[in-house]
Parts: sequence; C-alpha cells; structure tokens
Amino acid sequence: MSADRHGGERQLMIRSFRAIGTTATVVVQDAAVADKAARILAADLEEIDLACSRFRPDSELQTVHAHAGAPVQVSALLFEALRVAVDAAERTGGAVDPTIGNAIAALGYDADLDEVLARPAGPPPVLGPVAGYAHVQLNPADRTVRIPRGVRLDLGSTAKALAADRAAARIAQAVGSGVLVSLGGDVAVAGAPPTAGWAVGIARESSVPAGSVDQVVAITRGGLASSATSVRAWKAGDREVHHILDPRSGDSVAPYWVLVSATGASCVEANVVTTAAVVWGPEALEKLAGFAQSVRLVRADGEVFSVNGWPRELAA
Amino acid sequence: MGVPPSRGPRTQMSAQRNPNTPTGRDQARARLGNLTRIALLASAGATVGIGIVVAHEHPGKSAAGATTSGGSTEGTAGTAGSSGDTGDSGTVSSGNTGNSGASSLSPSISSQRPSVTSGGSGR
Repeated sequence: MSADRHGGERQLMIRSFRAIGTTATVVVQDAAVADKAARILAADLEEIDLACSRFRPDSELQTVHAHAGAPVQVSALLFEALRVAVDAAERTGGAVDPTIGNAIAALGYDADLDEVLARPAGPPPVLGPVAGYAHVQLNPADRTVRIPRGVRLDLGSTAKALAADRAAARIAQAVGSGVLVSLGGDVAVAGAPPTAGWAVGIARESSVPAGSVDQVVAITRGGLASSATSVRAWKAGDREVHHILDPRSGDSVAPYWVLVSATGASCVEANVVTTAAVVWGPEALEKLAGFAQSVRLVRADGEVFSVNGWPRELAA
Repeated sequence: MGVPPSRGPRTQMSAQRNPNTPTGRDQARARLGNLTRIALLASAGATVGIGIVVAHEHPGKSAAGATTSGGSTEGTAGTAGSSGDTGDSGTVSSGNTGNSGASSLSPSISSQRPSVTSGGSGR
C-alpha cells in the first residue's frame, strides 16, 4: 500500500493499493483516519470481488452460471449488483448489457488482464450478438436470479462503479468526514468535500501523473467516471480488441470515441453514460441529450466535445 | 347561430368530423400537411437545441499546462481546505466556464492539483 500527502490549508491523505484487477485509491482530509479508510475499502472490495467476479471460481456469480436455467438465491450484494447492471441496460437501450460474459471471453478476456496480456494471442474469435439483458430474471421477493442456460454475465464496469459508491458512503460514515474513492479512475465521493471540491484529473489513462492530465475538474458530490478504448486492450487473432463490447455484435466497439468522462449523482450514474457513449459511437451526442449527466468526449481525431454543462477547456 | 369569419379554423375542424365527402377529404389533407410542417419545424428545432447543448472545441486547447503544476504526485500542493459544507449545494470551485446546461452535478474547472486521475484503466 502506498501513501501520499497533498499539501495546502489542510493536507489530503492518499492510500493506494491493487485490488479487483485495478488500482484502488482512497483520499481523506484527516491523516488520523487514512489507514482506517483504506482498511474499509479493502474489505469492501474483497466482498464485491467474491460476489461479482467472473474470474474467481469461488464467486457467487459463478454459482449463478453453474445453475443457469434455474432460479438461484443470491446475497443482497450480488442482487444489488445485478439490479444495477440490468437497470443500466434498460436505461441505455441495451448498450450496456450484462449478458456479454461469453462474448468477452470469446475475445480472450477470460482472466485477469495481466494474465491475458502475458499469453500469446488466441485464434480469431467467433462473434455474435449477446443474449440480452431481458433474459435476466430478477425476483426481489425471494432475492433470486435466473439466467438462460449457456449465458454468462459480466458485471464489469457497473460493479466497479457500484463498489466505489458503496465504499465511499461506508467510509464517510465510519470516519465522519469527507472521502474520495477511486477504482481505476471510477470516482465516488461522500461526506463533506474540501472547500475547493475534490480535484480529479482527466486523461486517457488513469495512470497518467497529476502534472500530465488533459484537464482538472472539481466535484463535490456524486461520482465521476471515464471509459476509454485505448487501454485494457489485447490481441484477439491478428487484431487488437478492448473491453467495451457492442452487445449487438459481440465485438469490441470501433473506437470512434477514445475517452468519455461523465459526472453523475453517483459513480454508477456516471459510468453507465460513459460506457454507453462509447458503444453508441457517432450517435452518442444526440442520445446524451436525453441524459442529465455532464459529459466530456474525446473523438479519435482528438477533437473534444462537452455535453450538458461539462466545462470547456481553457485555451492554453 | 353562424360562425364568424375569424373562427374559420374551427369550421374546418368541425368539417373534418365528416371525412366521407370531397370537401372533408381536402380539409383532412390540408390538416395533415400542416401537421407535417409542424413536425418538421419541431425536428429542426430539436436539432438546433442539440447543437446548442453540444459545444465542441478543437484539440490542443487543453488547460492542463495552465491549471496544473508539473512533477510527480508526491509532496506537492494539492486540493486543500476543510469545510463544514455537506456539498449538497453542488457549488464548486472557481473556474467554471458557465456552459449552458450545467447542473449542480456538473464539474468545474479546477486549478488544484488532482488527487486522482480518471481515464481508461489499463491495469
């Protein structure tokens, strides 16, 4: 676990560590609570991983896969993650669909990315449309889920955003002060923010250092998420693919947008829009007019678009 | 009771209720034409609205150099200041360009050093 201090009127304390296949970061305004905040985040992420991972053989999601075709009672956490995923699919007209599990595995993303990148590219994948979220049956009365035989789910982006929202809320309540949680660049904040808000850098990769980002914005509540097509990419056959799939084709989306960032009432709200916009491609600007989230989109040619109040960048 | 000339449209509306006459069919066609024109105007208006909402700008105008300091993330000035504000107002720091469509959840430009970066997550 690495630590960092940011100076100013009141120093921000940062803790970062690896979890759920990405970098988890928690930022607090009181040094005395930084370690406690990091412990809560780590515990939260272990819970979400055990519930939602499609890589861990012992995850609850694998139990749902193993009993496909029959209703399976699941934990409150997995049920919530499933509900969020199906809700995202409904709100985006299926652009963000949890039934892409088989499709993304067919493209070669069937293990942690480090493992995928370390092995040679497989044969060209056989692609096709996914089953569709409408086939995921959720019954809140007995907290069961039923998926069709042969379908596998990928809760990927929505589960990560949900994890950020949950952790931020729990940490803020536990430590009694404001907190920022970032999971690979999916950001949730809770509690009282710093006076100037939480500063978040926007860049094509979350690993870009603070001094090299494209833009710095401040948020005071809710969440901020980004989706990019230039990272989390690997070879499938003789071509490069990435992790954002078009459910209609089962293939990774042609990178019309290379980076989409959005804010929302939660990290989930922001994440749903950024993922959908990548899938929508050229139609995203028109479709985003129907959403409340502020969005920044970077097209493959480098042109930047601001939608619904995302601040335009200042001339250098 | 007669209908005054100025109430002509109402007369047309009444006549449309009996479309099985040549006059009724003509009036129905005229009304359909009007509705089509209204729909086209509404569609054009929506397109203009989207154009207003979507503000695009050219690459290479990044504020990064002006608003952030260089160097690594360690030991440098960053976001700071405590507040008893719950954040519910959504008020954010200075630098907001005031784009149309901004909501209380819209971010604002910040001159602070970012604590984290949001972008694609390669690992």
